[in-house]
Amino acid sequence: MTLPVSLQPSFANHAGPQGMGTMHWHPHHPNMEMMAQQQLQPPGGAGATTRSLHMAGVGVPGMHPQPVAPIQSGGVASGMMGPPPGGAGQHNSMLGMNQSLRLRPTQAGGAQPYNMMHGVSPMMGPPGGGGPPGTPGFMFGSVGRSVLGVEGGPPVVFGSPGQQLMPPPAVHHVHEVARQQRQLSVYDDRPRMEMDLAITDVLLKASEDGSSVVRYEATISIASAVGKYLDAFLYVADEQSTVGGGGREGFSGGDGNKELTEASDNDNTNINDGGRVIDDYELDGLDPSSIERIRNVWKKLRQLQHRDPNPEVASIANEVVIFVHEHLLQRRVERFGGGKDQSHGLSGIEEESHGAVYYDSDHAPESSAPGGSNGRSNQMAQVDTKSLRRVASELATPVGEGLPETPSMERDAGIAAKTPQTRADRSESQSNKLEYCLPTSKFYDWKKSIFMEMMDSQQEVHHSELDPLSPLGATHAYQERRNFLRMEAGQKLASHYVNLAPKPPKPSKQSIEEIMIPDETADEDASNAILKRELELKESKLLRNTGVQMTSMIKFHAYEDILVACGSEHGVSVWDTEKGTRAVSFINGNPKGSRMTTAMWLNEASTSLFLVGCDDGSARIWDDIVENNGEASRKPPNLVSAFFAAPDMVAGARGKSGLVCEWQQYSGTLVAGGNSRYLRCWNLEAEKCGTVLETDSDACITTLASAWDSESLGTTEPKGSPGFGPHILVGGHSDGSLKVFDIRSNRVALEAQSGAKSWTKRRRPTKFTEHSSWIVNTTFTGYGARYEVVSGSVAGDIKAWDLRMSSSLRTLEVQRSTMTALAVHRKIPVVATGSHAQFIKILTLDGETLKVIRYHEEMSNRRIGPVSCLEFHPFKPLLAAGATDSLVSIYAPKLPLSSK
Amino acid sequence: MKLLQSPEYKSLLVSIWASILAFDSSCQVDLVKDGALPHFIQHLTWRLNSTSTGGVTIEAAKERTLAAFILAVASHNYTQGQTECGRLNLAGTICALLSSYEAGENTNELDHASADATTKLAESHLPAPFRMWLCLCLANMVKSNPSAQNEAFSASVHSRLFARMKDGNADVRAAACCALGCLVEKSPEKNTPGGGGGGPSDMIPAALGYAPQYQGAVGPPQQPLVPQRSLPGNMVVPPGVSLLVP
Repeated sequence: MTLPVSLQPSFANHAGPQGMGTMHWHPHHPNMEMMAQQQLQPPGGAGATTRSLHMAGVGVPGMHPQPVAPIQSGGVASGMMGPPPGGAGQHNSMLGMNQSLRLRPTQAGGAQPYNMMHGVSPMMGPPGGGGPPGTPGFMFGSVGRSVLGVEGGPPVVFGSPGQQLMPPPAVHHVHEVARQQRQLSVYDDRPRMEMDLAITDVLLKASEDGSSVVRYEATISIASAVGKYLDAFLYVADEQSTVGGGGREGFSGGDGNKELTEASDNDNTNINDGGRVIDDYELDGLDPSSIERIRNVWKKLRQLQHRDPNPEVASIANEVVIFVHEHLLQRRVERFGGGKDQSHGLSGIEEESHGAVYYDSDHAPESSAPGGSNGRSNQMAQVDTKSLRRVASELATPVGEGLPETPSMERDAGIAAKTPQTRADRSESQSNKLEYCLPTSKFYDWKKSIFMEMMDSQQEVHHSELDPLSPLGATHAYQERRNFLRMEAGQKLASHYVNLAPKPPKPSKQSIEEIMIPDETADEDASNAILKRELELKESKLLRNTGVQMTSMIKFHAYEDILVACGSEHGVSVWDTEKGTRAVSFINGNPKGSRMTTAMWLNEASTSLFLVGCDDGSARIWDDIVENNGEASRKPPNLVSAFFAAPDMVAGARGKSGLVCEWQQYSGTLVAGGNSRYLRCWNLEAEKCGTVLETDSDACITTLASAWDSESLGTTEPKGSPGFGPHILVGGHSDGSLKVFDIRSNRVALEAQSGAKSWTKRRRPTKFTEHSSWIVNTTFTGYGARYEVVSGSVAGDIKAWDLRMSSSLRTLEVQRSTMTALAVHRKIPVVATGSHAQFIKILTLDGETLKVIRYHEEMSNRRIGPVSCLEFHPFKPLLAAGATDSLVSIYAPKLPLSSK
Repeated sequence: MKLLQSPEYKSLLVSIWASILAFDSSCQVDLVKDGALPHFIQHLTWRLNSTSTGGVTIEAAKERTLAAFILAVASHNYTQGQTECGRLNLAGTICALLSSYEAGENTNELDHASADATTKLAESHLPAPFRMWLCLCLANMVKSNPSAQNEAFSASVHSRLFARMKDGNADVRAAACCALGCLVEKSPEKNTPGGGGGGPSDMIPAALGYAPQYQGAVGPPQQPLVPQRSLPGNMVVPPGVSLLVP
C-alpha cells in the first residue's frame, strides 16, 4: 500500500518542461514546505497526495527528458508518505502503478511501440468497461493540441475542427502520447479532486439555500468546478443524453466518420449508436464513486435549471448546462461529423443551433410546461444535436414572462441604472455566440461597489428614518401614522363589538339573584341587536377579475386599501378596494401543473412584501406591490426572493394541501408545512431554515395559526393564554385533527415543555381529534381577553378551543353542505362561512346567523358561484369572497358604526 | 506609508485607504509595492480582545471591516497581491478569526444566558459585513492562483468556509460560496496560444470569446442580477425597525 518509491526515477526522467501541458495546473510551486506540510496533514480525509503525478510530464516524441522541475520534491514527499488514510489511498496507489507502467514505455524511447500501450491500457481500467482498449480516439481535446503546439509535432491541430481527418500513422503515436498526457490532468490529482468534490458537495447543499443570492453564487461556483472537470461533466451529460442508446463502442476509421457526417447533416439520424463522445478511458482517473458524485452535481444543475423558483438562478444554471451541452455538441461534431466537409458542417450546426435557441426560447413556456425531470429525460432520450440544443436552452425563458422587466425595484438609483443594461448585455452576448462562457461571480464587484455606501449608511440609517424630510423618513413617518390609525380603528371595532363575543358559561356557584337581574340582559340584548344589524354586511364592490378561472385566495392589506387575489394556478392580481379597480396583475411564475396554495403579506407595517407559496413547495416573495405613498403600484412587482420552503413537496398532487405557511412578523419567522412530513421554520431575515419538526402524521397540514396575538405586541395587553407564547402553533390536518406544535422544540409540542413548566402538572393536550374531516381554517382569536382558537372543517362544523383544555369549548353546526371556506374576524366576534352550494353565511360565534348571501346585489341579483375563499379585513368590518368564477365581492356594513 | 506605523493615525489611514480603493482599485499596486499589507493584516485583529463596550466595539469592528475590504481589494485580480497575502499568512489570520467566531457560535454551555452572551459577543466583534469581507478576501486570494489554492487547502480554509455556509447571514453564505468557487476554480489559460493548454477545457475556443470573458473584471463591474434584487437586509424584515408595530 505504499506508493512506489520507484516512481521517483520516472519522475526524474519525465518531468516535463515547465509551462507545458498539465504543468499548467500547478506551475512552480513557490512554497515547497507548504506542500510537504499539506501532504503530511491531508485535510478532509483525502488520501495521501500524489500531486506529483501531475507534474510528471510525458515523453512526447521528439521531446527529450528534461531535468527535474522543482516540483519533484513534492513527488518525493508523496513517495515518502506513509500509508494514506481513507479509501482514496487505494486509488492512489493504483494510479501510481498505472503511472509507472505507463511511463515505462516512454522511458524506453521517444517513439514508443504501439503494442506496449495495448499492454498498458487494460490496467487503466475503464470504469464502465467501455470501448476497446487501444482504439485510437479521434479527439483528445486540448491536451493533444497543446502538446503538439509546444513540441512542434506533426502539424495537426486537434481540437480545431476542420483538420481532424483520418489520423495518419504518425498521429496514432501522438494520440497515444496525448492520451498518456491527458491522463496526467486534473483527474489524476486525486486528493485535490477529492477536496474539490467535497467543496462541490457543500455547494450542492448551498444550492438549496433559502437565499437566492446564495443559490446564485453556489451555482456559479459549481460552474467553476464544471469548467475544471469539464470532461467528466461531458461524460455524464453524454451518458444522460444517450440513455437507452445502444452501442458504446467508439467509431474507428473512416467508416464512423462517414456515417456520422451523415448523422450531423441529417439531424434526425440519431447519434445514439454512435458511441460516446467521451470514452471511458479518457476518464480513468475517476473512480465510479467520483463519477457518481459528478452525476449528482449534474443532476442538481439540471434540477436548478428546471425547478428553481428564482428565474435568475434558473437562468444561470441554464447557462452552465448550455455550456456543457455546447461542448458536447461540439465534440460530437468534431468527432463524428468531422471528415469531409468539416467547416461547412460545423457552421451549419452552429447556425442551426442558434436558430434553435431562439426558436425554443420563443416556445419555451410550452416546451417547459410538463416540468419535472421525467418529461425532460424522455426528451433527452432521443438525442440528436437539435434536441440537445433545445433541452439546453429551453429554460432560460419562462423568466421573460414571469419576471417583470422593470428595473425599478432597486433601492438605489445607481444600481437601478445598470440593470437593463446588464440584461441587454446578456442577451446580446447570447447572440454573439458567447454561450460558451461559464458565468463568473460578480459578487465581489457588487459588494465592492456598494461598500462605501454601506459603511457610511450604517450610521445614517437611523438619522434618515427620523428625519421626516428625507424620503425614507417621510415614508417611515407616513407608515407609522397610517399604522397607528388603523390599529386604533381596529381597537375601537374590537371594543365596539366585544359584547358579541360568546359569554363564558356562567359559573355554577353564581347566585340565582344575579342571573335574574333582568334589566341588564335586556339592555345588552338590545344593544347587541343593533350591533348585529350593523354586521349584516352587504355587497359593496364587485371586482371583475377577468381572465381568471377562479379565486383561490384573497388577502387584505392590513393598513392600506389593497387586496390581493390569487387565481387558481399562477395569476395574482392586486386591487384597490376603495376604487374597486385592478391595479396590476402578474404571474407568480410557478411551473405549470402546480398551484398556489398559500399567500400572505409580510412586513405589512413597513415595506410590504407579498409571499405566495405553491404546492411544489416553493415560496416567492414579491415587492413593490404597495408604493411608498400607500397606493397600489401599477407596475408589475419584483421578485425579491424565491426559495423552496418545503423542498420535499411534489407539485400537482390532488387532494393535498400543498404549501401552508404561517408568518410571525415579530420574529421574522415563516413556518412552512403542508403536504410534507415536516414543519420548517424559516428565518426570513437570515433566509435560513431553523427548526424542523416532524409532524408525525400521514395527513397533510391544511392550516396553521399561531396561538398568540402578535398584533397587540407592544401594548400592555396580554397576548395569549398564559403559558402560550408565540412559539405555539396550531395546525389543522386533512384528517380533521388539530395538533399543537412548539416551534422551539424538535418534538411535537409541549411534550418537552410540560415538564419544565411546573405550574401545569398534567401534560397539555397536543392533539385534538374532534373534527372528522379536512380542516378549512384555524384562527386564533382574542375577543375581550379570552383567547380561543376557532377551527372549522369541511363537514360544516366550527369549534372553539381553549388549548389548555382537552376538548372543545363550543361546537357550531353551521351548514350541511360542504363548507369550502371559513373566515374569522380577529377583532369582531363574527365568522363567515362559504359553501359549495353557492351561499355565504355570516354568523356570530354563538351560532346566530346574521346574514346569508346568495346573490350578487351589484349584478342584477345573479347567484354567486361556489365559494372558494373568504377573508376578513384584519381591522375593518370588511369581508371579501372569491368563488370559482372570476368575480370577487367585497362586503361592507350597510350602516355606519353606531355610537354607543 | 510611514504613518501607518504610528498607532494614532492608523484608524484614519485605514478608512482613507478604504475610500481610495473603493474609488480606484488600481491603487492596490502601490499598496502591495510599499509593503503596507502587514499593517492591514494586523489591523484585522485590532482591539479584538478589548473588553470595551458599546460604541467602541462597533467602531473597532467597523475598522476591521475596512481593513478586510482593503485586503480584499489588494489581492483582487492581482497576482503579486495574492502572493504577498500568502506570504504574510493572511489565510491563517482569517482562519483564526473565523474559527473564533465559530467557537462563539457553538458554545455548548448549559447556561443559556451565558451562551447567548458569548454568541452576542462574537457577533459584535465579528459582525456580518466583516465576515463577508473576510470570505471575499479569501476568495480574491485564491482566485486563479493554483499555488495559493494549495496553500489555502493546507491552511484548511475550506473547512472554515464550510462552517460559514451555515452562517446566519445570507451575504456571508454567498461570499463563502463565492470563495469556495474560487478555491475550486481552475486558473484561466493565460497563455492560450500554443502554450499552456492544461485541462480539457482548453477546448473552449478562445476565438469565441471565452478567454477574455473568463478573465473578466475588465471595464465597469457588471452587477449580478439576483443579488440586486434581493438587496440584503433592507428587504426582508429590516432588523429591528419594522418588526414592532409602534
